[in-house]
Amino acid sequence: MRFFISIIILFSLISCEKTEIDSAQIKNLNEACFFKQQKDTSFIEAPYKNVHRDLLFHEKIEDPYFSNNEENLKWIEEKEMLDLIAIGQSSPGAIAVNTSILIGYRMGGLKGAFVTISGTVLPPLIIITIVSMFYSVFRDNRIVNAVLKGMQAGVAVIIFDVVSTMAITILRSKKIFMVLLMILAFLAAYIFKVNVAIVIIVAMIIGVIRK
Amino acid sequence: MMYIKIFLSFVQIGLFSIGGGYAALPLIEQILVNQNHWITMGQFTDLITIASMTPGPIAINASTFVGTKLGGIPGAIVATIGCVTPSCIIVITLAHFYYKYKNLKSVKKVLETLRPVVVALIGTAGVSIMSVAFWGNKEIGKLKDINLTALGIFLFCYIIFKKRKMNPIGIIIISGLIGGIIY
Repeated sequence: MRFFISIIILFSLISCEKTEIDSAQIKNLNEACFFKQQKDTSFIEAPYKNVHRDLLFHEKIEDPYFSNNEENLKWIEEKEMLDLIAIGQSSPGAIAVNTSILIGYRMGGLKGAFVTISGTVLPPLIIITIVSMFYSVFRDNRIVNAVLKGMQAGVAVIIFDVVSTMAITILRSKKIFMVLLMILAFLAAYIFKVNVAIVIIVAMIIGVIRK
Repeated sequence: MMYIKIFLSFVQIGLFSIGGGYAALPLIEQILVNQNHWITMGQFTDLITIASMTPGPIAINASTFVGTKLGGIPGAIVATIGCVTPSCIIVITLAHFYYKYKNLKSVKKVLETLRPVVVALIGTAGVSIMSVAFWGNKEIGKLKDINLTALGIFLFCYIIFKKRKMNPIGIIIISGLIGGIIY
């Protein structure tokens, strides 16, 4: 009995000591923070306490929302982006919505997710509400049809570029297993029309089994 | 009461439409046309036309369309929120676990295997989009049926996209403008 009590006292002492150390080490994040690059000599202030936003604030990086600057910044790595798309495609719901939630969550937590989901949902919400009111006029309008037809080619350009870049990365890795898996998945989804969720689940099982 | 019913129906659509895009259509048809009789089969066909003509995910377009028909603008908002609620909950939970465990060896291995598969899946979407752009409703694969105007816009846009490093939204607007002028 005495043994147990002494152990309990010992533990409580240890834990007390630990909290003391902790409280000494905890810094209040409301205070000003500073950061610098390894080779820099002086620190600069970080008002947002978020690497990207602070770098943007000091104009150390270019505005990612302008032109193609986001490609140089790589806020989200290509590999990570593919993982996020995999999660988005295998979860229920619209893929665009799922992926936008994931990106928002990655960039700014729950608040970020809320912002990106509003951004994804609002344009269709507004467009469809307007269109559904006088949709027969819209459907038979020649100019609307022509613009939409032209846009199909534009969308084809973007997706062609994305796919070719990603496929070349996989081919360059020279892992025959990966290349084979890519070809098989394409055949399954495109020729045999297997549901994408099933393709992804099968791939996950292969990943678990693989040594 | 009506709004609650709309909300719950679209939660179902959001929850069970796995695979995205046209894979969700049979389910939408079953819930909206056969179960609740909110829209007729003819309206459902109109809905598909609109949904595929306008930008945005089909499930969202469908929920807005039906929501507007049933309860005006509030109906549209309720339906859309219902449709995205399940995604929100499930995806954020998955994202949480992804960032917590993505450095574990076994999880890494699974994610690594998934990457080429995802590229392939995006590729299938790309091939479908390109064949619709080049062949429209005609039989796909015949060289003489190819729409030369679409091919021209495609090549032109691809070159300015690569050379000028233009941003994607700009490319889509330009291609829309060219389409409006030529067709």
